[in-house]
This record gives sequence, structure tokens and C-alpha cells, in this order.
Amino acid sequence: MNQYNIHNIKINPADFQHPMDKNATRLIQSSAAFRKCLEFISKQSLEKQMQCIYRSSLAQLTPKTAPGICRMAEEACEMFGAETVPELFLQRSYTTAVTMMGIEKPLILLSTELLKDIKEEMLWGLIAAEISGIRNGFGEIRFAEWLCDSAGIIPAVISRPLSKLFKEWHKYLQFSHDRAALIAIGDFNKTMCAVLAGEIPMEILMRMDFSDPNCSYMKQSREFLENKGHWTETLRDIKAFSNEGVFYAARYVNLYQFMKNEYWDITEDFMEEI
Amino acid sequence: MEYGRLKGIKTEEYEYPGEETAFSLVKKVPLLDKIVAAYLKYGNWMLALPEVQGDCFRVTEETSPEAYRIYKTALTRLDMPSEYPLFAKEDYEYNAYTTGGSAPYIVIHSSMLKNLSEEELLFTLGHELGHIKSGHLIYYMMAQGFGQFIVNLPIPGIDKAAAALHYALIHWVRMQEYTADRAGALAAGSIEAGQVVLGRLLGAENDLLDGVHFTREDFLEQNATFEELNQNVVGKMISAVLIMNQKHPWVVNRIQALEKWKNSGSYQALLDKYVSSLC
Repeated sequence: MNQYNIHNIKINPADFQHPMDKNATRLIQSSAAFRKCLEFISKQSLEKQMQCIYRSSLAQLTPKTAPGICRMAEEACEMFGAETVPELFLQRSYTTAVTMMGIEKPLILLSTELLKDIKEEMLWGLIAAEISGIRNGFGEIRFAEWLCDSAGIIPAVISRPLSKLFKEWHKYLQFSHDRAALIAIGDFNKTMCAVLAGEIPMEILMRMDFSDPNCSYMKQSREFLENKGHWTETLRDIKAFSNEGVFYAARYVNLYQFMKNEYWDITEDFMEEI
Repeated sequence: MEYGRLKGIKTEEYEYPGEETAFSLVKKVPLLDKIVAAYLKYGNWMLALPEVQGDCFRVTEETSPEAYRIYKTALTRLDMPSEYPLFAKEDYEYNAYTTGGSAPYIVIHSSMLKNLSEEELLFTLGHELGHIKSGHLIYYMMAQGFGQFIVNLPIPGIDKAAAALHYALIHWVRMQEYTADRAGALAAGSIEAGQVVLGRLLGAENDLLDGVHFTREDFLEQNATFEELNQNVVGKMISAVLIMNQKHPWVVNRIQALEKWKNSGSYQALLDKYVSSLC
């Protein structure tokens, strides 16, 4: 991959959205409860309330306070065709997280811990991944999910049926995000480092070569995922069912397969051989 | 700014103007003096001390000489009549609070002791001492739990009275924060240090990725954009509903309030009055 330059990518994120994520997203968007939830959000001016909370209580990243990060957001919007550049906010938190939500005016929350030792190109990938979700309608789903989790805001008759759909969606959404990060970063190893930033210390990540199919993490991941007929398979599946997200092992193998099979076709038009 | 004791400084001299107005509303609540007396005698505040003593470590000259020295400076500058126990609690979040009813003590989170500069710590500790100096504590603690307690009493109509008391108290408690911020600035000898601490509460740190840098002007600008949201009726209503149950004002508003106090000249006038009297 390193003998290519990728430039001026302009892609509709729907073109590489993971099929399972696509199905889960459609299921949510077509459900009556979700439509009711959006109506409720609009009627109660809930998006404005969210903006009010964030502007009053979290530090806003602006071209003046964080020029590099704001530029990343603008470039990612261009890359994935998002019309509105999201507002960026910083949240003091010991978890490494980046989250996008919102309907008319999406916003992205970045945790302080994430910005402590992540490399710029990895952060670029994570921000781009979040922004890729804007066109796929993830902003409104995330916002509805956030509201449903905040007890009492959305009536239970709407929030209960939705919560199960959100949980399923969450599992597959990450596959699409990882793909978007890979397209933005253009380097598989760095993308995996970005995906695992916060889970594995940066100094260990920097020693890994995730693009090598024989690397120890690939062996570990395959062993875990192909562990058929063994009692650990049952335990794994139970855990997968109860988890909010997917196992990192699954994300890694999934992204590797995407890189091997589809990535080149999708990015071909934007490749320039060196 | 370096100085010693602001000898004889009174809370009325730096009290936030809205606090007195809010207190006049609270004072109209019938039987409040009796409620306060009962709360002081039997309130649940007594339950908190064993927890703090059991889970936090006391900041003393022996356990943390630097933090203790800074605490002593804050006590001296604000001319506090005595020393109150200071405890540190292991926590990532930035927070400090004062509790303890008629025997107050302060708890500060370890993240603040670790990351804040001397001036910023003086502001934080001065803010807490400001609550003690102004006698805010009892009403604050009542606002925390009294509304729920009274609402469960089997007396007809008590829920409406409790709601009125609750909102009056909580509004006053928010005004108290502005006064405590002023005390913090006096203890620090710097308005800017206070604004930086409040900025840290927003998440604004300057040791993050290269290129990320915040100044107090950025917080003031953010306050202006926040106020833009509240220009129309819907915005005003949303803001009012969201703040109604909060015990602290919006952080950006607190930063702006300190700026306003500085620009009014009152802060400097106080320092001129007390600091020059030392010389």
C-alpha cells in the first residue's frame, strides 16, 4: 500500500458501508418508534437543548484553539460529502472516545484522554470515520440513542423498542467506521493503531505491524474467531450477544478482509502510483 | 499577585449582587429559621464525615507539604477565623467541595492537586473557603436533599411548598457560586487563574495534542456564542429549564461573571484597600 499516494478522495460513505450495518441502519430508520422519536426531538427542540448544554459546559474546539483538528473535520467533510462541518467539543474524560451526534447541526465530542498521546494521522482517521456517518444518518440515530439512554427524556413507549435496535446497530456500525478510517488514513497499520488507541498503550501499538498476516495479533484474533466446536465458542457467542460493541479481534479481521478484497476497487480512482 | 492577609475583609464587600436578591426570596419562606436549626441538629450531613475520613487522606504538612502550604496561604489571605480539615480524594474528575454542616471540611480531588498551578489551587481552595466564610453551607446542603425529604411528608399541599422552597434555595445556591468564585480570585490574587480553572472544568487543557491551546479569551468568546443561543424566547426557555435544577451556574457564565467583576474595578478596589493597608 505504501507505494501509492491517495489524494482528493471524494466518496459517498454508503458505498463502503458494511452490509450488516446497512441492514441495521435501515431497520432503525424504517421503524415507527424511530420516526416518533425524531418527531418528539423536533417538537421539544431537543437538539437545541443539547447545543445549549455543550456550549455551556464543554470547551469548544475552534480554528483558533485547535486549528489542526478543525482542519481535519473540514477535510473529512469534503472527503465524505458531509454538507455541515460539525462543531467540535472537548470533554474531560479518562476514556479515549470520539462520538458524533446531531441532526441539523451535528457535533463531535472528543475526550481529553484521547488527545493526550494519539498521533495526528490516527486522530484524523477517527474524526473522518465519525464524519463519514453523517451522510449515513448516524447522527440522528446516535442522538436518539443518547436521549433514550438519558432516563425520562423520551417516553418509554418510544425508547424501549428502540433500545434493542440501537444495541444491534452498535455492533455493526464499528465495521463501517473502521472502513472509513482506513480510507481516510490510507494505511492499514496506522488505521488499526487508531482503532486500538486507548485499548493498548501507544508504545506497544507503535511496535506492531497489523498489515502482516502473520503478526501475533492476527493469529490471536483468528484463533479466537475460528474457535469452533469448543466450549469457549459458546462463551464467546454469549459475550458477543451481551456486549455493546464487537470484539476488537472481529474488527481487525473484518477490516483486513475489506482491505484485501474491496478497498482497492473503492479507492482505485484516487490512487497515484509513486 | 503576592500579598498576605486581607485583614478584616467582609463577604458583603465582594458578594455577588444576585446573591442578596435571591436570599431575600429564600427568607420569605415561612419557618425557614426553624428548619435550618433542625437541619443543623439532626441533618444527614453528619453521615458524610466518616466516609471522608475512611476513604480520603487528610492534607497536612506531613502528608502533602506543598498543598498544605497553599491551603494555609488561602486561609490567611481570606482572613479565615480558623483552619478547616482538608481531605484529598483520588479521582480523575476536577472537583472540590465543602460539606460538614456546623463543622465544615473541604474535599479536593487528587487530579486538581496533581495538575493545577499554585494560583489555580489558591483559587479552588479560596472558592471553597468562600462558601464557609459566607455561611453558604447549610443552605447548600438543604438544597441537596431537603426538597425530596419534605415532599414525602403526609401533609396536604406540602409538595407545592417543598417545590417553592427547593427552587428558591437552588437559585440562591447558584448565586452563591459567583460569590465563592470572587473569594477564590481574592485568595489567588488573580481573576485569570480562576478563569483558567473554570476553563479546565470545561475540558480545556493545554497539555494535549500539539496545536491545541486555550486562553481565557477563548472561554469568553464561547460564552458569547452560548448567549447567542439564548437570544430568542425558545432559547431563553430552554436555558431556564435546563438550569432550573442545577446547583452550579453554567461554567461559561461564571467565567464571564469574573471578567465583569474585574472590568467593574471592584476587584482591584478591594485589593487596593486591603493590600495597601498592609504596607
